[in-house]
Amino acid sequence: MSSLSEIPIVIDKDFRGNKASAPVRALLEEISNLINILVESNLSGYVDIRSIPLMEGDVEHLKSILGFGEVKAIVDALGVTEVFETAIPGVWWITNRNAQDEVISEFVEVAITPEILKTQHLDLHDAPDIFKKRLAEYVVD
Amino acid sequence: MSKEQTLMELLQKQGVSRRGFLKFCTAMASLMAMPPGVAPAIAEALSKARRPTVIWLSFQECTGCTESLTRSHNPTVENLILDAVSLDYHHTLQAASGSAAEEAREHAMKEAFGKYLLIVDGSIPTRDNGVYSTIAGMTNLQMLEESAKGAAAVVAVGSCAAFGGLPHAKPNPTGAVPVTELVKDKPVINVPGCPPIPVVITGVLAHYLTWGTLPDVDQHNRPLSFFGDSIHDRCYRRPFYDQGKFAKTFDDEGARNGWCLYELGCKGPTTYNACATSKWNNGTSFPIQSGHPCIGCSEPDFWDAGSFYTPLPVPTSDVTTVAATAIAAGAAAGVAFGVYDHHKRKKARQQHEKLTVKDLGD
Repeated sequence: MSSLSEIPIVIDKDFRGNKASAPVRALLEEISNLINILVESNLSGYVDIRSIPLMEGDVEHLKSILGFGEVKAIVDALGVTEVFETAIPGVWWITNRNAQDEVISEFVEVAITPEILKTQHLDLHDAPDIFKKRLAEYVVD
Repeated sequence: MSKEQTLMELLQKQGVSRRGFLKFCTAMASLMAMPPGVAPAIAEALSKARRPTVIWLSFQECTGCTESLTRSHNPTVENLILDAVSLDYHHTLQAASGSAAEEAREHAMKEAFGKYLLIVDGSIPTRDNGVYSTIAGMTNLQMLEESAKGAAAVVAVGSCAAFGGLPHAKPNPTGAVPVTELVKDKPVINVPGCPPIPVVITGVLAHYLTWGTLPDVDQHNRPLSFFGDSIHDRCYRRPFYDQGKFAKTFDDEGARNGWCLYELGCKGPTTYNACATSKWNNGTSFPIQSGHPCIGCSEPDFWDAGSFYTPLPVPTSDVTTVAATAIAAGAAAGVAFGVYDHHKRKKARQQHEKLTVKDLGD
């Protein structure tokens, strides 16, 4: 009897050719809907990539369909968050990682600016004091 | 840490920025199976929430549920949630032992009477007055009765606490029963699974932290956000089921191509859990993806449901013949076991009746 390690495992990634799988088509449909809402009403929306079961290669396929735009950002808070605007204006891909670099959530945000990139309102209140402190530390008269 | 601190204050003391807090809330939304857009509302609620007292009682169990939670691969978020609650009593995790540990439990119960969250894992033996499992001289039965009195709500973690689990399997020598058979006057939520997925446990805790209530439940008291869909309905191998492509053995062509595992005994059609979407080990995989059929561990009495490797009741017609007939009749792509009855399936799903393949074919 052959051992498990001798059994080759082959994942047939090409069985559907270049055609998007049903889950990817469903996500694209949602994104399309949110784009229309953003254009018409200026309202943001989200599509959680993990909300539906995806097959091997689906996330990469979705990324390749949406493409890559001009903006890339890294947020360093409780681990790294990667943000990039896709080739479609207003459609952003957000990947939240924890301090161990594991993906804890991944979603598409359809918005003028992703929420995580905006300066938090309450932080703004602290800005004058932080600025004064840094001036005192770093500027020599 | 003061229990009077809000969660926001607690996290800020740990050096978490507001942007980090928003990211934490986004992860919490994901844990609660809510859309990411809810994160600001969660942040608003959590910024005012105080630390709830949590007492965790471990009864007739294998400790797998605690292992599942503490071996979680999402330590930042889960640790933050566990840090956000005041876990005043837990056999495996606490430093105290002996009478000091029991005094901690009694003190926590007295201080937070009517407000603490009681988590139970393990079934409760009842035969012979419950002598088959005791802690500090008290039977599990006595401890549960005493601890449930002042609880705001009870969370039964794992299939043993939720449905009786393995100890409850025939012949059930200890008279093991689930929490719901003993606690009748408090809200009880079941988080079954053998063990449950960690994010499901922390998702329920996150919901309680955020809103101060337990989430909506199904007929088995399981949170709908995690147990609202069957494994079958969310399984990535479902297209193969619909096309009538099944693995017949664990190493044949079908198995290598990742086809449906129905014929190898998969209980996905009759099992409700989040395995197919949330998966295990931080979204790495789940049994079906790893090539093993679902064993139905989040359903009542799954240990007595027959072999894990015997298929669910089979249809009366040959699969290929019926599939061909369906296609010839112009039926929409769907179940290969006959004409697909959407109405009956939808009704059964709403009522969470267990479907058999025969039902799908009727």
